[in-house]
Amino acid sequence: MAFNINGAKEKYDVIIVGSGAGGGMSGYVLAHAGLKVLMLESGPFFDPAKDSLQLRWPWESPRRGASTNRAFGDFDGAFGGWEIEGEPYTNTEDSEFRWFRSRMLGGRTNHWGRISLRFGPKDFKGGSFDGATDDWPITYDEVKPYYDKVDVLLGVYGTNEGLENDPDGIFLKPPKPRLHELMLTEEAKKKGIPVIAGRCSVLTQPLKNNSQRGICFNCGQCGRSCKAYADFSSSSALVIPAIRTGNLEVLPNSLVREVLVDGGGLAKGVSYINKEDMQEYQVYGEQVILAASACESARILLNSKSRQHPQGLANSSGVVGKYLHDSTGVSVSAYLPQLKDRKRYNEDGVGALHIYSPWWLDNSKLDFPRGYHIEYGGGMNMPSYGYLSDLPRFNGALAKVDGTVKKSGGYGRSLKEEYRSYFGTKVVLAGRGLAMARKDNYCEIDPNTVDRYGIPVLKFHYKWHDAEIKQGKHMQDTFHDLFTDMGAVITSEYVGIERNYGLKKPGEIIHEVGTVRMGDDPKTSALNKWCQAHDCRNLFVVDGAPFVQQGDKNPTWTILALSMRTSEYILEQRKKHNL
Amino acid sequence: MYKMKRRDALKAIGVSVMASGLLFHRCSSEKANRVVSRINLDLKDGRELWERERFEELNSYTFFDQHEKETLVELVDLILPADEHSLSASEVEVPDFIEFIVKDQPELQQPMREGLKWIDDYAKQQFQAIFVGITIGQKTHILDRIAYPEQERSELQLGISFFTLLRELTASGYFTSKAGIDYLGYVGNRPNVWEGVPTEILRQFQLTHLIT
Ligand SMILES: Cc1cc2nc3c(=O)[nH]c(=O)nc-3n(C[C@H](O)[C@H](O)[C@H](O)COP(=O)(O)OP(=O)(O)OC[C@H]3O[C@@H](n4cnc5c(N)ncnc54)[C@H](O)[C@@H]3O)c2cc1C
Ligand code: SF4
Repeated sequence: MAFNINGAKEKYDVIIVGSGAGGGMSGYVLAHAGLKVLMLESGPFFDPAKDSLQLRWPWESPRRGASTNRAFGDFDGAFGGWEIEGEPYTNTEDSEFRWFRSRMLGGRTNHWGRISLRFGPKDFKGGSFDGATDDWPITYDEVKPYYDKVDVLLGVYGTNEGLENDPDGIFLKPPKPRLHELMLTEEAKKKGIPVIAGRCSVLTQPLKNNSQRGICFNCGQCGRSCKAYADFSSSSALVIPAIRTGNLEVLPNSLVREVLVDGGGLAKGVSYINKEDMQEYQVYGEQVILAASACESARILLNSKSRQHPQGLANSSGVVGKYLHDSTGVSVSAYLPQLKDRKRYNEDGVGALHIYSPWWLDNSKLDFPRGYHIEYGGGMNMPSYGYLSDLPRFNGALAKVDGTVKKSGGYGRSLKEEYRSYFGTKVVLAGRGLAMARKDNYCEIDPNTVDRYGIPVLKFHYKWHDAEIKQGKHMQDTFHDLFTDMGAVITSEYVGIERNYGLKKPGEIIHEVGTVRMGDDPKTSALNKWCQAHDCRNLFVVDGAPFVQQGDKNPTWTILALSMRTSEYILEQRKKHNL
Repeated sequence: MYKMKRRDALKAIGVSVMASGLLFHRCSSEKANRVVSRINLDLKDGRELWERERFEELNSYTFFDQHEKETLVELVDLILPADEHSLSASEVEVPDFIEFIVKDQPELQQPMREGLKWIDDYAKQQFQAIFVGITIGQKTHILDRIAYPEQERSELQLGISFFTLLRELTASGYFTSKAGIDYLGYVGNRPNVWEGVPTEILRQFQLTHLIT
């Protein structure tokens, strides 16, 4: 039973849907400029200072940190997950897209890996270099000032390296490498793979002009979200400060169904379900900004059908939902026997990458376009559910390294000692690479399924093609070679072409973007280069949906830069009465 | 205006306006800590309502019967026994953890129950008594046949998979207990200043050229 309130007197300057990276930045900029902003968030209010489970021990969870309730473990900072009860999504038969959603203030930024890479000149204009993908309507130089401002506002560590397609930034000092990272660096360098300091948004030093955020105290648990506000979460670093201006109001537990339009087809507000009373409401604003995450923003637009916009809002081109793309991913794990019985000390460090390898090869000699970067994991981490669960499968192979003969498996005192000896010896190499935006990889409204609120859900069509599969093979081969040559005992099975050389399923890297893409031509894009709808000038999209094509870089720093750019554009256009 | 209506709506479903904490309206001078609008969807101790409810539900019944529990106690202590410096698995309550986890992950229930039954049947077949009733020598005789998966004895497949699962759960429970973490020597999870690998370790691994 819908409970619609028409003619609500309160009208906001701007309505923002979603409080993740994109929505948080927009709310921050607009509220600080004095606009009256209403932010609707489908999940609960979440303040890391109070609600994070940082510094809890595994025994404080009855499931010892297992991921039964929360996809990344019982203490993790991401509510929601791959499946949300009552809010399904579907796939066509030969598609296996997986959609990760966090429903909470700050969205997925409470958990995210904090890897904060800028896209480079060739990522914005990749098509002009190799013809493999479409170009963005904007260049790196146009976005650079915003990357700079985001670096200064939110903080990111790293080193300036002068690399052509991995632009330098305004960096805080990076954390030093851990032991296994040094060993992997040595081996990688022998193979010509460059290894540089990670680039992540964690405050290793105080942030200038910001007394609200603390400095990192090296607990290694950014995934739980930092109580000291020392990592970038949209909740702590953007939304809560924006609320403090008095100009931003947040309605948590409020799930937006559609954008409402007036007789002329302009956006006038949104309708939403208040999850607390299960009633439907409407709120009105002069501009509407969608930031519900790439797929959800596409869903809202496609569900916003009206006489004026019969194909859904901002969709006269028919591209909404199309060009969905994630990153590629392959991971290979191993034990480093040389670390056996290592001396114990606290190497928790920062809960984000200490080192990484930017893409390094020349594509003219390869059978796939562009490439991937490498992330390095491992260390003497806090034990959790599943502690060295594969050790009894590999202790035979590990013993062989010591020159002893032993069957894998076992029990009793000797096994117990092995669990101790191999603490902190496990490492992982993870590649994250270019996935191509294609018209035929897309999401659309499933005509047969609605969620528990009666809102039609998304159906996905997503398949890997040759370019991604060949790149996956390259990743897997590179990682196996690197480990083999350093005498590691590899625990990941070598996967053949029948399972795409170990490529993760589409969506599993959680970098999905591209579903409401920008462009100069209203026939082939939904938004202009300011993330403003071609069909509806007071409607904007500021999450990953406007992306034309990502490179091998994780998307969030670019979401933040573009959201800031669009928000400043809105301020300017409002002054000129253009909206 | 819509706020008034919203209040009415709340009243209609029997929630008091005060309890709903509708403080979330514009409040230019108010601080963020006043910004709370939750009824039953709030977080308590960092947990969502459904997580708390689920926890209570899982704790409201017992899965393993007395005999199964006794068998588990013996088995986990054979897997991770006490030594001069550390406690055994049952001493750090690994069986209680396993009781919880099979309720938490119901797909583990059947393999665990069938496995416990298998081990009794096998003991009876070999030694004419259930597992807890045989000698320690007889127990290790059985474990020696199922603890080394590479041996591939198809007639023991059930026992082998059961033991593999139980060993994983035992390690999970043990090394996430306080005593288990002390045994491993993990010294983190506290405020620290990370300044890189200690010099003596760099020396040990011939990485001194990386001292900065
Ligand atoms: C495990 C993991 C690791 C990651 N690591 C990295 C990394 O290292 N680097 C990187 O760049 N990226 C990383 N990401 C991706 C990163 O989290 C996202 O790119 C980023 O959060 C996207 O921001 P967003 O604002 O588009 O969406 P989200 O952060 O998803 O925020 C969307 C918000 O909108 C709300 N919402 C959704 N639907 C509605 C609706 N109908 N009505 C109202 N509100 C709604 C949601 O509740 C949510 O709060 C990672 C993600 C995960 C999960
Ligand atoms: S590693 Fe640092 S930033 Fe991350 S949660 Fe711990 S203290 Fe906070």
